[in-house]
Amino acid sequence: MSGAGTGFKTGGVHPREAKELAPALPVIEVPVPDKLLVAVTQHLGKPSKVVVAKGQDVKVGDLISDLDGPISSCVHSPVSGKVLRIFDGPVVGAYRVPIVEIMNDKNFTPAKEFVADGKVPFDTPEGFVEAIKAAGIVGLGGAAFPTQVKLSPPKDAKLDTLILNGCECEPYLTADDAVMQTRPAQLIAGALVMAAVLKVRNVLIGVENNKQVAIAALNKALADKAHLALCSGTVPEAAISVVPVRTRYPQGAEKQLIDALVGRRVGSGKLPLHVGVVVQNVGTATAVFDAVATGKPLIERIVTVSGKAINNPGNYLVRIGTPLQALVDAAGGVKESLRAIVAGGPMMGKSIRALDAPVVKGMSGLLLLQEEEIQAYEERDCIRCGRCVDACPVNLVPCDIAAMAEFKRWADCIGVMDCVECGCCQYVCPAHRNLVLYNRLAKYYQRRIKK
Amino acid sequence: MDVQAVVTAALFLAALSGVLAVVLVVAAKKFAVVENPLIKEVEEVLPQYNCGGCGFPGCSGFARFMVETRDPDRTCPPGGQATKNRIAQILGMESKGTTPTVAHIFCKGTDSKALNEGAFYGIQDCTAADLVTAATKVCPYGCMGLGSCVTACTFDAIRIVDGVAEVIEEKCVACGACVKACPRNLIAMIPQGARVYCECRSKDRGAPVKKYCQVGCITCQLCVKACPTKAISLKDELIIIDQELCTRCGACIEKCPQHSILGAHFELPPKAEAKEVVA
Amino acid sequence: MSEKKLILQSSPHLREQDSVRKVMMTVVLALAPAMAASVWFFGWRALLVQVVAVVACLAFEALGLLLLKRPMKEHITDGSAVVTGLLLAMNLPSSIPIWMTVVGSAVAILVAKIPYGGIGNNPFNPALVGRVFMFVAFPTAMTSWPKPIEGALDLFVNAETGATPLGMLKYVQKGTEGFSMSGAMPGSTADMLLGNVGGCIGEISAAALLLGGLFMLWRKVITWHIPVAFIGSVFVFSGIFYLVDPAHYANPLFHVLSGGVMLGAIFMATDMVTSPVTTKGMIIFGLGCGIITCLIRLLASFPEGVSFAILIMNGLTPLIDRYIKPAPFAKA
Repeated sequence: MSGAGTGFKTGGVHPREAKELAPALPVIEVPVPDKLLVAVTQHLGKPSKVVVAKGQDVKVGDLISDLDGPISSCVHSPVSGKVLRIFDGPVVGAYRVPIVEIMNDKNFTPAKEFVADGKVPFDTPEGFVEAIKAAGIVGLGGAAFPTQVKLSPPKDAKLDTLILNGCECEPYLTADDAVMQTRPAQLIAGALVMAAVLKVRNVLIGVENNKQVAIAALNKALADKAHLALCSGTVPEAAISVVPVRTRYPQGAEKQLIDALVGRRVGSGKLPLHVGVVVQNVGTATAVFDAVATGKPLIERIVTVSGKAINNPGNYLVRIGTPLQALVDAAGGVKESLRAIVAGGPMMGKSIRALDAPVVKGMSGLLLLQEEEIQAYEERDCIRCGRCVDACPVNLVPCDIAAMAEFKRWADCIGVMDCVECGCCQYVCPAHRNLVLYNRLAKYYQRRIKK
Repeated sequence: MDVQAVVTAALFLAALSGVLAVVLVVAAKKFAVVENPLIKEVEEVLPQYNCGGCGFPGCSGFARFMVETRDPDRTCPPGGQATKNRIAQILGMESKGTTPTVAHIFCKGTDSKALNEGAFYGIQDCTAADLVTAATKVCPYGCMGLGSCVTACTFDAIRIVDGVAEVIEEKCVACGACVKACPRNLIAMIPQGARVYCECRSKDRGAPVKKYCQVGCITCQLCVKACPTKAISLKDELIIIDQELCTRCGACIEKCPQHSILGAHFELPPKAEAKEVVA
Repeated sequence: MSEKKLILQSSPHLREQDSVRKVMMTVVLALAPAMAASVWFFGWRALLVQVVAVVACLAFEALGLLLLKRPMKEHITDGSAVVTGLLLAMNLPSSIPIWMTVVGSAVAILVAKIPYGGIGNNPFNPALVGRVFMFVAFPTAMTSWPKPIEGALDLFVNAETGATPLGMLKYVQKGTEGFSMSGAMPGSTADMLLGNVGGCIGEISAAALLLGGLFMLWRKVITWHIPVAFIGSVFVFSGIFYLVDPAHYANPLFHVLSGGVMLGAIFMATDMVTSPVTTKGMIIFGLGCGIITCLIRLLASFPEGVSFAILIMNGLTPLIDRYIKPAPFAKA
């Protein structure tokens, strides 16, 4: 079942990987700034409710905002200090969301001592989901879906496999690579936690074959049983294997990874659990381990700062709530040649205008790009070449959807709700049509029409 | 020339046309759809724009609705009071008064007055730019000037001037298409004639607003205090001026430090400073 | 000097370094071997026809862009008019009067392309529309082909004309007195491969066209589906007729190498704008072209059927695109 030839079967593109700009290691710790902007909405689902007030003292790990409803998450204070104000400010992708500004007293007093060499207590597995929920863990691959919801599938779901996504198929990004190289044992232990919760016995860790060092580190940890050393009690049986997959974008997209590793295809409008699988990012698995074994909530993450317009590209360990400007300063500052700033990867990330937004849980990368790395074009008429059809990993016809969207015939944009907005179509289009934006518009209007 | 052939052909064609004519007449009579003749009558007095401003599919749709329901509250906005009276006459119902309205864009943050950063590449549509938060206008509430409202207007009544949309009131028929098109809800239908409005819909307060727009409302509420008839209030972070209570005294226009409040279609009382009255 | 502004756009932010112009230029390069062969066998007149066609197409495209109110600089330099001009010229005998070439270019651009909205919006291959128009309007000039002379570089045009193999074949098929299969066949297969046969400027040298086709395949400007389906169906269909009656019907290799099949399958049918976007659709398209070509060649009164076949399939492309969609990612 394994082998470097494994990969998803239809569509996809292979942009230049640009991983050498920001190698996975070393991971540099960003000095925590004086003021942190903790956004209250850092996840998919209902925004969390603020539970602190202006002037309140907080400690590291204190709850800043709590869950609101079943599909929600909570946010914790990344520093100890005082709440300066609660205001509506910008985050990447939204103009105004509630933000709690905290002044850092530089003491880093924890609310509760984290158990430094804690182990996963497999004797009390019923506490796992609560711990994950209380720690505010969300999908760190970018989607930021509340993890406790993904780990609580409906009763009738028949699950047999847990897939860990270590593909990191987006160019430039190496944060997951760093996690796999530095904390493979914790990663696998976190996977065991999730496997226990889901009651599955099969764990597959999919890693693109351009990350040979990470694959070796994971295999070594498995061979040394290092993950078991981090567990206490009876560890449930689970077959864990590392599967190298073909380096192709978007190998790390959920549906594509499932297709590659277990050969199952998630249907239109369906979820991985409908084919018996749950997919989690490797960073999420490591955060799960931290939450369950040491009690540490999600207050920091590794962000890849890369691009030719930043002076010191690399991986940076940064506290949630750090203003992007502080992150950029820690990475040596931008060059004169800066032409675009992208939060996330270059294929699906959002271009931003200013660095006043803060780091949020789902931010895996910040790219400072120069002229030759990013091109902006005016779109032209479609020349019906069909390259987009070949490139689409979900077998849509992007040129036809865009043609309908251009003339506002939203109902005729067939299949657009299955679009994962991966960007393969626009990447290959010689006429530089705004295919992804047309798809986004069509989805927006189709949802409105449905309502 | 073979005369006989010509005559035969002509007679044959005449006979054929005759037969077909009979068939058509019979079909027209037999398959005729009986429709209330009033519907046609009402439809004829409508302006024939087929703009959908009434909320019905085309003028015939509105005519049908009126004949079926005789609803006194419904209007054809482009037709105005005159059309309403004529419909009332045809249908034998009372004609209620209707306020003529016109579209209005609540943003004066032009390129000379408001901050723009970056260059947007993509579909030149306001909803599209907002979907990916990529508009160049720094103010997240203001008019992006990409022209979705211009495209939506079938009467050429909106244009982009200095980066911000502007309604040409003489051409506006109040169909409401632009209101639906604006993703930032900056367009509303307002009563025609004299008016005083706060032209800014930014929900931010204070210094940040001044940074991104010279005419943005900073929510200082000096206008609220200045109004002698208490027509001005702060609702949901926006300054709202009740047009019924407003006496067009011009006090708020004078007091506003950002010149966000503007009046139109009336003369300011003589003692007020000659502040801009936008006609 | 303007300060460059920060770029704000939707994802993706990376692009393959390609453009419409690059695609068109690749096609032009791919036509270079065929252009060279035409000059080798027909002299400088062949080159003149090609140059005139290209210049005329560019001029008419400029006029068309003005009429359409499109940005001139960006569209006139995209190379599509150059490709149309070259392909039109490839479909003409090298002795075609210059003024007729200009008329053909006008039709190709101003009738088949501009009224539909310019590049990307035309349902029919403009070069073929121009060619078919010329065929109907100037039948004599379009059906007298100079005999090829190897190394005829300094010759302006060979006054000696002769019938093409396909032309003679039609008489053989009809059983006309005085025409036999062996008489109709050209000297050797090598002649047909290299181009030592009568015919239009671009269609004579199968080898040159193949070379161009492989180049385009390598640069991923075309895919194999249409050429293989087209040529394959011509081979099979004509093969069946040959097996049944070899005295009246030529062998399938002859059919593939003669006339416009190679040019049509590699350069004309693969025109992206007028062919389907899915690979399944492309195969159906290619099969249709091949079958209709053979139907016309073998059963109808025209000796050559490639242009008509492609134009008919162009008309069916929207239908193919409507019903042939890629298989859904997962079964419902």
